[in-house]
Amino acid sequence: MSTDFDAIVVGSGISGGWAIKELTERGLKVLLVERGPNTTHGQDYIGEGKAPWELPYHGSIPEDVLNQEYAIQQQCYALDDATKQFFVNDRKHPYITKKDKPFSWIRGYQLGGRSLLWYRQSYRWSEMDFKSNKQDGHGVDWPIRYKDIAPWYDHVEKFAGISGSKEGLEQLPDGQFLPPMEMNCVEIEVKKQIEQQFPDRTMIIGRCAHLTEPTKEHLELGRGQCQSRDQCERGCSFGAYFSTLSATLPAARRTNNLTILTDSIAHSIVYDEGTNKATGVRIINAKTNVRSQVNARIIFLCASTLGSTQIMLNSKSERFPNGIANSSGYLGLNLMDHIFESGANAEYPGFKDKYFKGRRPNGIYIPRYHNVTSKDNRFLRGFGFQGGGKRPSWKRAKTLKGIGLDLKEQLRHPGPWTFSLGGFGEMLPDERNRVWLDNKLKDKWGIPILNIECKLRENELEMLKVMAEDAKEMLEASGMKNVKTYNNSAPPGLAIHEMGTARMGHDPTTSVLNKYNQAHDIPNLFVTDGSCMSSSACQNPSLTYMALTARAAANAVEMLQEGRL
Amino acid sequence: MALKNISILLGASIPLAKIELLSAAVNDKHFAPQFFNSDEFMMVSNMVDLIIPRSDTPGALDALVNNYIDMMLSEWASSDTQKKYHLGVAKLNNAVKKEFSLNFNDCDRQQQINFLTSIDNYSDTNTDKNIQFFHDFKWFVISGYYTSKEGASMELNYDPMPGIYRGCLPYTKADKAWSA
Ligand SMILES: Cc1cc2nc3c(=O)[nH]c(=O)nc-3n(C[C@H](O)[C@H](O)[C@H](O)COP(=O)(O)OP(=O)(O)OC[C@H]3O[C@@H](n4cnc5c(N)ncnc54)[C@H](O)[C@@H]3O)c2cc1C
Repeated sequence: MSTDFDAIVVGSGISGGWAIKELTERGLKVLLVERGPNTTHGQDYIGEGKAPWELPYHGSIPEDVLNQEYAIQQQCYALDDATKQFFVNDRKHPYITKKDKPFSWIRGYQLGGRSLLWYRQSYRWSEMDFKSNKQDGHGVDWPIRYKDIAPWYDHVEKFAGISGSKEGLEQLPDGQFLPPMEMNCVEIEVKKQIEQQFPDRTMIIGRCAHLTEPTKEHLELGRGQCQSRDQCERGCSFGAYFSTLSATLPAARRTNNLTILTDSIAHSIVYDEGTNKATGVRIINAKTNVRSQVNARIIFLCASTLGSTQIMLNSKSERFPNGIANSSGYLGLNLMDHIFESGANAEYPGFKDKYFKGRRPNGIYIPRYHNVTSKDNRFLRGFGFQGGGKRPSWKRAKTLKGIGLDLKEQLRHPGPWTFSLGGFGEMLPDERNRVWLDNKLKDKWGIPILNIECKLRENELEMLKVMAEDAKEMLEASGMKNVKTYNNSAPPGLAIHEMGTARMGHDPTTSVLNKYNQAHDIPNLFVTDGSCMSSSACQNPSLTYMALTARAAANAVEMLQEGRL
Repeated sequence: MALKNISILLGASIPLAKIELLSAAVNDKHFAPQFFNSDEFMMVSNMVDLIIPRSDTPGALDALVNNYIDMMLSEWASSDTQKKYHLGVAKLNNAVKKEFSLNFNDCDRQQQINFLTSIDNYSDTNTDKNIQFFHDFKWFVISGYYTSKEGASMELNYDPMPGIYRGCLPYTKADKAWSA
């Protein structure tokens, strides 16, 4: 095979998908290197549309398989028998944590990565988020501000298709939205109550990467309207939600500039000291173990936060004994996730004569309100809430008494409306939260495995407490009954928003990447997945990875064309 | 509801369980349980029938939830879960024997109902293993039934392709719940 590419993109998830699209559309010959198997849109969605009785074991994974192959992945709500092929097998892909500091690394290794599995919540960051590090001194200052990324949010939103409502909120900027999904009656009522009684708070319908009304651009790619099946993680052959397979991959393919290598694990980056360039990628065939090398003029690492960081740490040379582009020593440090699993649930006594139709693959969102216009002395930064109202069906039987016809008759009808609010909070960058390569243990391809150490600290724990209190307060104020709070403090990683281990910054001595996601040390090496994040904000991050990737790709091509790379 | 009265009436006088099981056996005479022996399977089938009986729609026995449970335990369950179910069924039968001096399968339907209802009424926090086991078993039946074709699409409504979500439609007691 020719090793003559303009660009290599490592990883085909949300970030890599955007990289191949933007680079090929700008005329570059691109090689995509993906460690997982090929997946074909539609054809490989083996559980799609199946009713529970049509699935093996009604969709539930046999207990031994679950415990032996998915010891970590089973913590993720989206894992079941119809989706398990999109999750890694934990036994084959180990990593190390200390007993008292668990970290749940939830992964999908296939063409499309976790873009197939994600819950599709898509929110912009605001000026406040890009300023926060500078303001309170945690982490390094972001080298960009909202105005730098705003046009790229526009760009990715239009193409991906983000459904949402315009709200005019400073802390959660509006975007290029498709029509919003509908709120149900309880949600409309709770929204009214919360906004009346807490003037600094707003409740909006979730913003999500679903085609509520496809545009011409979406239809041309073969994508169609969302059917409210809410089985998205199995894959959607309507292409109604954004994934690499439904959107960025077909866009890149139609340029005829894309070559794909699947089952190809990027082992490390090849560095040439003479030119100070990254010249290629060392690859191991995941099935045959055959080793090879591919070369290109520029390299985009999009192997996910910890994936890219692992590749970089494993790319050692005389100049970079501790990992490529790591002269600062910050590669692997400042791992962040979002803190969650704190909130409240309740029952709503009214609307007994109202019901819904369809399984809306989306909920409601309460944007951050702490430390927005006034300062909260209990903690820095803030959190938002996700949640929603529904009328549970037969699953509520878990707590119902009785057997026989009475029970059956009761379950024939929906239960009372319930409402839930769960917080998602910002985690401060902290150097003690970090990953490094083990110096003994290797995976079955001989690649040193990662140690991960990450812990919630005072600010996060305080925030978790307030999440539950606030949720309770809002639900009670909305006329709810049986309000129950919870604060389970999930292990970090489980929010699946891991980020920060190759951060952007102005200063090459304290950060790995510059404002264009370009390695400070090596001009033709770009890292555009979550590892680039200087802080975590509290919004779901993938939309920001998309925008940063598209922006970095456009800039890289410009520099390449001007002969600056 | 008419049917309800009939079954209570019959249940009080005739050991109906065996009669109904005969009809289930006719439904699927080729099924040979892999996990339970025939007495255990009879007891499991009786309990399945009592937890979700036939009404104007199929019951859990019509949906072959007894076969489903046997299949799940032989193919899907870990050895710990398997042990729990063998032991659980045996202990439950022992408790019945203590109360009625009869095996569960030999009790009349009303005795069976009384026994299961009394166990079911205890809270799960109770340390009696029989109570916890019955709650688990009941959930097994319920989840098996409402994910079966009969339970999900005949007893309840199942919509494979809902189209646009509507959040606030009129609902009356004549309408059924969505199964998913
Ligand atoms: C159940 C679930 C729900 C989620 N919900 C949301 C949500 O609502 N909103 C949101 O914003 N985010 C959500 N996320 C997170 C979101 O999926 C990730 O942020 C996003 O996929 C990251 O994109 P990525 O391209 O950086 O990584 P990935 O999508 O993980 O893709 C990385 C790719 O790189 C490949 N790779 C890794 N290592 C190598 C290597 N050495 N060589 C070659 N290839 C490699 C992998 O196989 C994979 O295909 C969710 C995730 C999950 C699992």
